[in-house]
Amino acid sequence: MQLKVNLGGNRPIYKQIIDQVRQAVSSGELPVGASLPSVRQLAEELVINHNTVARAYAELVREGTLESQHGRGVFVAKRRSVFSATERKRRFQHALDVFLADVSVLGYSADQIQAEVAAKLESFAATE
Amino acid sequence: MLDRTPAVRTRGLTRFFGDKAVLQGLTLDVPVGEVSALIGHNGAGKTTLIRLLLGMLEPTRGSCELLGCDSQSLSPETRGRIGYLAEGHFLWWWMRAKDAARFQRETFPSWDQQMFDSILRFFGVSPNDRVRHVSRGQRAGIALAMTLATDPELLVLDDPSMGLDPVARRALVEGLLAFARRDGRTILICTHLLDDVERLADRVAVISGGQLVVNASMDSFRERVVGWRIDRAISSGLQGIPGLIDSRQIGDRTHVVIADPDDETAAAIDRLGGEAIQEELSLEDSILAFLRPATMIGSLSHALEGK
Amino acid sequence: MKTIVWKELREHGFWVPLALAATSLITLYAMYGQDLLFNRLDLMAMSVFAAAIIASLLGAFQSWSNYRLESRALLLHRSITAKAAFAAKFIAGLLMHSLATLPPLLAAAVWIAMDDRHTLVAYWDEMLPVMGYTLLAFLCWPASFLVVQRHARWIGSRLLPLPCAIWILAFSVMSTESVDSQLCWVGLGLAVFAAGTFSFAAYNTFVSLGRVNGSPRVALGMLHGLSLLVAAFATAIAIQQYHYEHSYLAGTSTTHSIRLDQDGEPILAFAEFSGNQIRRSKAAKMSTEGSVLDQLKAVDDWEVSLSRLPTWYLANSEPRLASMNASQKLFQVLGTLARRIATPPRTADADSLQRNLVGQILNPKLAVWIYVLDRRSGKILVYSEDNELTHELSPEKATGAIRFRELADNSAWNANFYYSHYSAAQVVYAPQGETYLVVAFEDAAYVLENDGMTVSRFFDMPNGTPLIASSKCNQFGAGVVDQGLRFGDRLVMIQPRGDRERKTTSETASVQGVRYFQTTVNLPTQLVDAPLLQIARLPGSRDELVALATKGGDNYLWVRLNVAGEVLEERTYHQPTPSTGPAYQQAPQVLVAALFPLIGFGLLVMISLSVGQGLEQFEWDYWLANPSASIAFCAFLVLQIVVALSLTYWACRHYRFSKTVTRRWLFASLLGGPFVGLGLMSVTTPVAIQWCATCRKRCRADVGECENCQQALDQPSRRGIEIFDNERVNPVATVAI
Repeated sequence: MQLKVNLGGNRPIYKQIIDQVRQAVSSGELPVGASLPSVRQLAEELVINHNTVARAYAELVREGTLESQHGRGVFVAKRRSVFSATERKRRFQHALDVFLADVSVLGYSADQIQAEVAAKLESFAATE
Repeated sequence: MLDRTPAVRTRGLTRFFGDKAVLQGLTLDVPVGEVSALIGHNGAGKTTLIRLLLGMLEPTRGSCELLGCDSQSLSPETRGRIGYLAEGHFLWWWMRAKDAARFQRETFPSWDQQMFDSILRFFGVSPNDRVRHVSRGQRAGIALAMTLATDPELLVLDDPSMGLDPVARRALVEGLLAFARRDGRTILICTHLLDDVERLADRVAVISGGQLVVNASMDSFRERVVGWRIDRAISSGLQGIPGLIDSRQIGDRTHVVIADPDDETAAAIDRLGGEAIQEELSLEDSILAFLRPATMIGSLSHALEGK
Repeated sequence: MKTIVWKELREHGFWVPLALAATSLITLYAMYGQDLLFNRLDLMAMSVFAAAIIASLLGAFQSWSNYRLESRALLLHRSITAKAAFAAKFIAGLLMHSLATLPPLLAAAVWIAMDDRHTLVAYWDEMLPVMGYTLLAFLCWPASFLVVQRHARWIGSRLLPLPCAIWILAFSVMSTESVDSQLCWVGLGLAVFAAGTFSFAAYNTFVSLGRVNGSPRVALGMLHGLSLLVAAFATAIAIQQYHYEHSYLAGTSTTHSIRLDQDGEPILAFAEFSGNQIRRSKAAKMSTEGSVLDQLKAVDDWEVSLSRLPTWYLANSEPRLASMNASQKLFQVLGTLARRIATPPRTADADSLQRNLVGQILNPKLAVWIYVLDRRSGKILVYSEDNELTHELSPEKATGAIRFRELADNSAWNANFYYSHYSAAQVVYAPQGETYLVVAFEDAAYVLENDGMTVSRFFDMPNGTPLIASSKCNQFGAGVVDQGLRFGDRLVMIQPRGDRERKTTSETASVQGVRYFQTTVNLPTQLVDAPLLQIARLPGSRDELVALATKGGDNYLWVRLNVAGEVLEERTYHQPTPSTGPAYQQAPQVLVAALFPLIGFGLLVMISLSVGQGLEQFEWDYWLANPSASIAFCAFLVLQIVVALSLTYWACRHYRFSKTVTRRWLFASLLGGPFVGLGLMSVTTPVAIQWCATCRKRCRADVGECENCQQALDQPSRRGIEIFDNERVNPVATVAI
């Protein structure tokens, strides 16, 4: 997995790391149990403050995406729900909003979108 | 978690030049083990602050301490624990790199020659190179090596990236990050380059007009400062928004920057009319909102087009 | 510290060869550029001036290189004390200064010591004081260091230490050769004081980036005030000079003097001058009853003849010699130390004063010949105008010191007698149109005769008695000029006589056809201590003389005595001599009143009281006689005091001094004039003033509370919104990895 940070952007760096790790985990690029680079290594790679990386990892550990095993490093955790029902709902709605806003400018009709999403969901289920 | 004296601590620090206050009532703590960035206009008082911190200038009133020792009476031992990298990587032009090492070695107790040599190698400087013959970036390398190899606990940097090409700048940032990773090392950095701030800093402090306007951790700063875009030109009534930091009219849109928005803020914006969208701000925009003086309303490009 | 000395030498060392080249040229020029006669004062002035410039430049460069924050921090922000850094700079500066200025002088000294065949009349240890004062010029280093370092509101007061240092240096150099040698000590003390003050102030400002507090402000202010005072006086003198030159011929002045008339009686002579020409004169016989000034008011007897007896004026030079000797003791220490340095054997065992300049004489071909005594060979060397040795004259037993024992024997300092006017007196023997040079040596007085081509011993000096005065006899209108020598309580009068008056007494000597008639007079006790003595032979008498001595003030003692010292008649007179200066002196006096501080007048009064011989300006009669001048003088004095007090009061208010301190400064200004206030202003930085947000009044910014309303000043009216983490230091949550 290759993490990238975009400086000067609207999102703080640690949020960018969180987004990218989440994305990689949910897309299956990082399978459960896969190890992530150490804080120090990632900080060196991205040329950012190690505290920023540590903060992002801490956030990911807190929300359950990652788990830290003392002395061994950080790994992708088994998925478990850590959010409340309303929070889950809010996050889902937000993701949906972003997705729809992105695709609406591409000129697809509602039916086409539904079809694409359904197809994607099928292949997603198959890999899992 | 840790109960340590702050590495830098100022209390009501005020300095006048003539009858003009360059710094006024500055109360600032720089915690141990973190990187704090100090941002401000040219002439906002950053250099004065550094002079005061290093005891090269006496405050008109108030006090400042470095590593728990009053700046006006820094002992040689304490000075040995504080590294200072001067603006423009100032070095004596006649020096060779090895002269610089000799000079530091004989005046700092904890000199690390190996570190000096390895930093020089990294920047491609040989010990016999003269300061006046090397490139700007290499000079920065020598200055950085001179400072870092004294193994300071507190590092004070005055605009270290100024005048450096991207390669040298990156090397400098890497060097500073490596320094910051070691336990209990504190960095206070003055800079104008917000990219570097984003990479380096845990905390950000903004000085405007001699006063401290921001002193917060990077996260809380970015979370608490929020922008709104209103699709309408608004000439009056903006002052009513609670927590308004800055507003800018560009064309028929109004951008406002607000601290700690809540329901009341949203209501106030709604009252102004027009469609309002909340937007995340980049670090640059957030800081500009604090630094921009009142005269700079709108954008310069509009002003130049005669609008 | 070693590292910093090394750094300073690396950084500024390249100036040293340049400066060295300049000082070498200056030394060469001073020694060979102008004259046969080595003029130490010239060399000293040039060398010290060059050294002052070098020290100033070094001080400026060395402090300028650490003026900016970056370079200052690079130097000071390390594990050394600021004191060590300053000391290192000082040492490096002194080293470079010495390397740039001393080698040419040392080389000259060695060269003089090694080679005695050169035409230059000089002694190697004359170089010691030159070197000493050249080193002393280093006091410009801290002054110029201070100029660069110290912030001031105005460039003039920032620059002040440098002219101040140069003035003090010039004063101390000039004072080494001044007529009043006690000044030498004053000059030296002032220079040492200035060096200390400047160094301390430079150190303090160096450590604190232009901070003025903590430096010796009172001392610095004193130096500044003093140099401003001198600058003001220099201006006043320049104005006076201008005034003098423009109104000299128009001005009239009158003088009263007391003399012996043709009968040996004391007279009060009055002369009226226009410019420097006597316009008319008259005289009155003095009376023991009282002043005879009234008699001079009659207008009928102008143009009296002032021709009188041939009279010797013999001023007692003992005090002057004593003070000269005292000042020269200082250099004896240097001299004795230096003698331990190995010198070539030819000079090591010899006295350093082997040769002395005797004087110069115009020979019959109208060429100037210079006479130099070489005491090692016991010869007088005669140099031509082209500095070539043309003759060697051998006086009989001319070895030994010149008569002034202290001066000649113990001093390693004042080697050339070129400036010592008593060592030789030129005597003109008019009837033959010849010129003689009479020289007083330890053993005898010699005369250079035969157009200066022969040396004759004509008078044996009495053993063990110092010669305190040597004088020519004054006689208006007559050609014969005789010689008088005064030893303690004895007076020897020597008169050339023509061949026809041949006498064969034990007191008569005949040399080369000219005789010298000599009379020894024992002075009675009344006359021994008189600072000034007029003495003349009584007409028509061989053994009787008349003497007129001043006893201080307006008191005169007239004595008729014989050569054995018996007083035959004694009279005392009291006669004021109220001379009026020419009109052109009036204006500058007012100017002086406007500038001269009160304490200066006090000192002058004290000096004149202790000397017992006051300036006429300190006597009531003078003031009563010139009411308009007196009123102007007083008015300007009052004006000066008012200006001084208001200046100081304003400054004290401005600096927010407390009432006690203000009172002290006001008192100092009353005594010291406006220069106290100016000095104070030149060393004090103003207190920062701000508007109090609470009471809307101006108040000091350097204290926490407003002085008017006692509210804390730190309530900055911030604009806009601030973001602060108000919680305690908040380290980022870390994950154990």
